[in-house]
Amino acid sequence: MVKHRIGLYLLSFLAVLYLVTPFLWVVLVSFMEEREANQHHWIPRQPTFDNYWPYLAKGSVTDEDKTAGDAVGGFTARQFPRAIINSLINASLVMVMNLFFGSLAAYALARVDFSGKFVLLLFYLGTRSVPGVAIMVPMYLLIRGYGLLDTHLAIILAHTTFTLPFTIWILKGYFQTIPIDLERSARIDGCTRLGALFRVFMPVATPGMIAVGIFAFISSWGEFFFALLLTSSIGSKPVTVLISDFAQELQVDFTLIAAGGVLVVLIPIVLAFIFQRFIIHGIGGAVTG
Amino acid sequence: MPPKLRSDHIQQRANHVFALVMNLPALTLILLLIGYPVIVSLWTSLHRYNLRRPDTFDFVGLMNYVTILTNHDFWHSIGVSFYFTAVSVPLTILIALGIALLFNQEFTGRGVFRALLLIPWAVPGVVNGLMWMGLLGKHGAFDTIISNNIELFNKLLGTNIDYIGMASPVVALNAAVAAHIWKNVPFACIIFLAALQGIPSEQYRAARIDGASTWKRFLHLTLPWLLHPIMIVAILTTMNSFRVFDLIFALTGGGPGDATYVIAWQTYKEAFGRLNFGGANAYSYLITIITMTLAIVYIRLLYRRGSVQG
Amino acid sequence: MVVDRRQFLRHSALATMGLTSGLLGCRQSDPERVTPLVFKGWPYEPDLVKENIEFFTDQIGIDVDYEMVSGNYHDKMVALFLAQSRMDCCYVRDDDFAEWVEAGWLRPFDDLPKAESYQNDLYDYNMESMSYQGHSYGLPYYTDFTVWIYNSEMLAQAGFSQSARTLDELTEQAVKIKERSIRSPDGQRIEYPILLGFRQSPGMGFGDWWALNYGSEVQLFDDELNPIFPDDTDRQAERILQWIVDGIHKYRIIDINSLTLGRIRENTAAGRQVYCLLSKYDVEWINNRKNSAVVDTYLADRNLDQSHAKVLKMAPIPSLETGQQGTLGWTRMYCLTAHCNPDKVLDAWQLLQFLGGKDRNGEYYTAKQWFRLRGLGFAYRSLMEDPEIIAQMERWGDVGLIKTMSKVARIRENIKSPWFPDFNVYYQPEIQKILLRQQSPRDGLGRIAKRCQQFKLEWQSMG
Repeated sequence: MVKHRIGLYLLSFLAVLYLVTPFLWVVLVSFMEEREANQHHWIPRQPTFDNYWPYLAKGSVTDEDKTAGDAVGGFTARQFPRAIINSLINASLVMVMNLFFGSLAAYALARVDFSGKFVLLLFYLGTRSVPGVAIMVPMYLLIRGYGLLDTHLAIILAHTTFTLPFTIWILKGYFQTIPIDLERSARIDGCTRLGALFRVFMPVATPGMIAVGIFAFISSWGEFFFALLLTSSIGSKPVTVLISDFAQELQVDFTLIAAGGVLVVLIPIVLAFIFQRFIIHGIGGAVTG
Repeated sequence: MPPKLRSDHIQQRANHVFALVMNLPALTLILLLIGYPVIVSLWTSLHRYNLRRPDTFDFVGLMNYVTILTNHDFWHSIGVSFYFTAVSVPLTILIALGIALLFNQEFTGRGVFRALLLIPWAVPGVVNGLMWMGLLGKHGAFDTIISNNIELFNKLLGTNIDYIGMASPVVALNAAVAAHIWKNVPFACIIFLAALQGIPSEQYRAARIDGASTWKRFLHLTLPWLLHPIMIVAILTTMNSFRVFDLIFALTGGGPGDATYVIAWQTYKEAFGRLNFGGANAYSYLITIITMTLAIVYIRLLYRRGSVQG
Repeated sequence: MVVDRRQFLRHSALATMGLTSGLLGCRQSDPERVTPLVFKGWPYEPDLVKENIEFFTDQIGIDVDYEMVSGNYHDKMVALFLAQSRMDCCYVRDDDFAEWVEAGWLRPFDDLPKAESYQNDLYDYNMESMSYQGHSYGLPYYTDFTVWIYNSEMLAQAGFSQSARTLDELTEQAVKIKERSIRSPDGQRIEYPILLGFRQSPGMGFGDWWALNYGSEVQLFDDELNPIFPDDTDRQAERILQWIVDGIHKYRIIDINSLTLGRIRENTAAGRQVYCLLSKYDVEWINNRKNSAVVDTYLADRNLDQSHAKVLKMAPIPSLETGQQGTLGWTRMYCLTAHCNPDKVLDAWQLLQFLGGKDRNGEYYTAKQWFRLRGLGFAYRSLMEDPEIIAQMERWGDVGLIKTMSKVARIRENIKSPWFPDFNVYYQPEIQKILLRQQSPRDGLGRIAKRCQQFKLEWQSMG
């Protein structure tokens, strides 16, 4: 048994090593000066927190000694907290909309037999197979027609439509694994169809819902191209777009981007720790309930 | 009135209405946002239309498609994209499945491991491209390690392998595949983990009492249970691989030569490099047709297997 | 059938909107508000740009909304132009200039007051970059040209006092450096003394190919923009490519990662190679201790406490024959947009002049400011005589050389053809295939030339 444990930890460690190592390098670079980052070793020899200051504190920007990064950084300093909030709003609402719209559709697809089901499934999938490059410009014009350019709603709607097909497909598959007897007995007890869905079915389906919820959240959090296209001011600009301002024509300040990247990744990771507990509770519910 | 007493006909109609109502919100949203772009895109693909000549919008039927299909560049990109997909999809599934089975075991610290699992996915695209450049590029953190090892290998065995890193077409393409897999594993893994949690533990207990080995339990219990999620992951990662674009943009720029000219990159160059919106939209529809065909093949497989499982 | 595409899109969008605006609510901007000028640019030094604009508003009394365009500037601007977003002036890169004029997005300013007053003071290549078919469209934001850079310390270790003037000499120097096992500041042996910029990039990139050709005074196109390579005078274009191919594969003095590596400036500053081609404005960056391990080591060894040292020096681009000189120059400019509001044109023109020309006091205020604070190149000859500017240039560069190169810099010959974007996406992979030895320089150049002719015909047929 002990041997089994050690093996388990060893393998898990290797798996985490695979998943984390590339990003670990970014974390390490974020503590280096630009000069050191170009030497491509891993451990910073003179660790510095300088790359984080532009995001966290305001700096004087007209100082002639400051390099380009500092100046862009000064600008970003005023915008970064706002961009984080924008991203949080977008990603959370995308998650909520996915779970609501997605679970309704997926439940019908999983539980009800109706003609056109296959076509409907294909349709959902089909919307995902059109390359972004093709719909980019017309969608931009459409959102402009709705008068929604540069608003949260534009990004939320766009990201929801992109993630919804995945959500529906995955939930449909997940829902099918849940025994139908649950709702049958609930309905015999006098529940309506929707009543059975919300009172009996949904609690059991929690792990799957959380999985797709995380999926939708992170997809929206990390999405760049449409967010870039649809926003222009800090009123709605998400954080991925904001840090792209460091990669401009004249120079890419990689250490600054690295620091921004670390800050951006932190939030989903922290949320994941919280979600973890939910998932574990979810299993408890599924097994005992 | 209990449902079992209803006639089949009424039941069927009720089913239809129920299904429609349940799907309506999602359908409306998708149609509102994607419907119009998709139609405009299709319509544009039937026209000669370059933004550099904004007043020329001539209907040319399928000419754009013919031009593309008779062009060597298209077939080259198709080849690259198929290779990209054929390598990345099975590897993503295998790696994700391995990690999911591992993280499905119960052990202390599992929550931390699972949270770390999300890192590759959460890395924003802008950072991701630059990160892989920094790691794999000349003098990059990984590149240095690899070339040192190859030097050592050459010294020990007297071989003469010339490792040129990302400047080698073969290395560049496979490095892009590896980076793509890394980014896609967490998504697949989460799906598998969620599915694994749904396996009824009584069945495991029963199997264990029957004395089935770990391998047998995996083969006869876990794997059939995971078939549906695996298929879904296969479909979605296939689509992702076929559409891969930002990674190529940041990592290789299509090079060296035309080694990493995936189909989406070709489309992007047509659209924003040349502003040839007619041609670019035709490219997009060809991609759509290919991915849809692949998806239908998968789904057919899925349904055939699925019926066994119920 | 001819349909105005923009109208088609607008009408369909409106139709869809009519169906759905009730659902989503339609927000429209208030037409009553006095609107300031809208000015868009890529996010370089937004705070300095804002400062300049505030100074403009103080001087002239016109309000300006400066909006940063994040992400890929070209692509986002294409979307903005297509949607006819309100915008009065914007930055334009010469790479996109012809495309945007052809698309009808930019407005010439020949009809506006004092439009000609800047022409005489501009360097030829800048002047040429900003006009199209006899009309002036732009005033310079910044401009620069490619220079040859060498690491004088490493060269001295190999026993050379200055960089090679011809490509053959360069081969000799590089081979010797290779034999000497010179090491970078982080202790790695210099295996490839030369690194060039041949990474593909759809919007930009491949400047080094042009710079090397122009360094040898190669003419690639005739006056009608017919390609004359691969049979140009003495087959120079072919010989230059052959020199690179030999440098990569035969002498192994040019790093093959020239095809993939974007970060040439960074690698030069890290001391990973001896020679490269860079933009002139990067010379300050690479000789700044903060960015450069080479300079840092140099200063630390001598116990010096200054920010800059001229270790990475500039030189004329090595050429095929002795005595040839030239380089590639480019321009980033300010332009008026075609849907600039008619009552705003004069205001916008004032802004354009303030930014790209003279301010109220007759000074090239912003150009000077950009050079003073960030070392960005300027397009006006008279600034080159300014003692303050010369003094600053002395800190990191070679003033005499900068003066000569400004005069001999040339723009890409076909950059102002309507088919330049087509050419741009086609030639880059083809040249990379030559450098990978997948095709010979002659065949590759021949294919590119043939394709140029096709593009030309296609555009002629489109009228």
